[in-house]
Amino acid sequence: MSDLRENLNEALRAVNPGDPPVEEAIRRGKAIRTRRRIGVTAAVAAVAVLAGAGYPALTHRQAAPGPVTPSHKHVRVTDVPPGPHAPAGTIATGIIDGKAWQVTTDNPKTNGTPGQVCVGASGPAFGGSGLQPVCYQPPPVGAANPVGWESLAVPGDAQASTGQVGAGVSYVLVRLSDDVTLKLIPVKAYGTRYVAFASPPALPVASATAYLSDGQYLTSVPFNLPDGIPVFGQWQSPGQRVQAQVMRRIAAGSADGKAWAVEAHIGPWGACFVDTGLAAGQTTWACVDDSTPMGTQMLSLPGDSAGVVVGSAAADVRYLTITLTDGAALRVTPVEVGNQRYFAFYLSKGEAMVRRWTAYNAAGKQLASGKLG
Amino acid sequence: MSGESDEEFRQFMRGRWPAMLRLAYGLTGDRGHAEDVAQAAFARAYASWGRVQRTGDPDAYVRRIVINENRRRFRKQRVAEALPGTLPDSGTVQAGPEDRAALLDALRSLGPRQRAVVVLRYWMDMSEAETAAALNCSVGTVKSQASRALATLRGKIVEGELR
Repeated sequence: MSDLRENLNEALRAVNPGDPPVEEAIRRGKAIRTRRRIGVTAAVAAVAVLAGAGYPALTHRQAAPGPVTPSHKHVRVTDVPPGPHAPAGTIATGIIDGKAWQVTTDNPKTNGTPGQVCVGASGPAFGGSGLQPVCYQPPPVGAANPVGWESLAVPGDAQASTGQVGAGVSYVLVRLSDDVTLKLIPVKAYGTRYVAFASPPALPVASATAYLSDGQYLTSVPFNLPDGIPVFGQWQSPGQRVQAQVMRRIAAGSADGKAWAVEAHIGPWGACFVDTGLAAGQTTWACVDDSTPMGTQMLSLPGDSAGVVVGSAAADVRYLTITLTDGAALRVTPVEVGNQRYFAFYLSKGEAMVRRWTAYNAAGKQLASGKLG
Repeated sequence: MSGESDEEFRQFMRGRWPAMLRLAYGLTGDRGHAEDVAQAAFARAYASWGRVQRTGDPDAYVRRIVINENRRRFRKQRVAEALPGTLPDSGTVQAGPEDRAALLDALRSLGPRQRAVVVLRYWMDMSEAETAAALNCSVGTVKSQASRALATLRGKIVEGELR
């Protein structure tokens, strides 16, 4: 009889690790940080060679809007401020279906990255091991943006949303899809006011309303990603006209042996784009502020070397040609969704990137062009 | 992240890549998946590198991400299994030196959770409680999965399937 540990040790040591893909890990790490940010702007990801088939076979499907689809009626969720003996940096604690959770933040003076905040979540509600801390540049808060939200989640488990809170905010009411309402009392941690809450994927977030000390209030309706993460965007005053909710698939196809499809979700949150062709537990997305005309530009979905690129097109643009660094070209047609027009295409693994784009009107006249990278 | 911090991450990853890849290989049983899991773990570590360094034990941090990444991947595959009654908990299995490479084949034949229990419990030397926490399951599940896994490994050796 020999010891299993020794046998395993020797067997696994025989596995040749090869060269560590350091630069690829760094690139993916940067993409993770970027994906965590709300409000992707006109930045273009380093994307790669276009595989032959599958781009962009546009289909048009009008679907019923509404990112909030209650599907679970018996989940109990609570959210309370930390008690007097809670560890430093605790923002909120609570329970989801009997499982506890905590959201904490680090001291910004010691977290090593000036201007960033680091937020983590722990407890059985997050699958035991908790959520890896996320460090990010907090969005500015002010009169028009009373809470700067950031969300993180373990796919299939709970999500945690936390945000820095403006000085004038007394409390925040978060309404979940089953009409459960969480009252979030701002907590001061390391000199900054925060709120936080956690919720399960079965209960998407319907809205968050920030009540100000002067009696006013603002409401934000988030877009809920397929893995349960709410993406908060614009805040509305009472009576303010809000964008109607519309969902439309703007492009679909197959490449690298898998199907891909991009849906545009328009609503009070702005415009969000989701690649619905990915495996469960993975989500590639980007959200932009669509309150003003965006014109013609690339709105990339940053990610790994392969992925979807999304763009917007001005009203008179009928098609665009995209030229890659290897000389290949493709033609894409924008689709109208809400008040804007969008297009998407897929770039698969390889070395080529988008080099430039050119927009044309219905008569074939060149309207605009741009270089990327 | 600063250039100096990037370089520290590069050095860390170059040094710890073999160990993390082997751990991922043991957990997944597949070279391609192992590379994906290990690389994803390092990418996540990079995304929070300042925080990771401040833990004072970045190795443990990345190891935990590898385990979590693997757990996320096999969550969709798992099936309900009835817990047996009284189960032995033995960390030994009959395998001569010539069988050690083939032990990986036997390991691959296990289900994802049994494989993870074997690797964490008997290779990483984690306690039952630590293994349960890492896999987000009960200690009883760890015991039952370990027992079944060891029985399977022994059976394959007895039946000569390792050769």
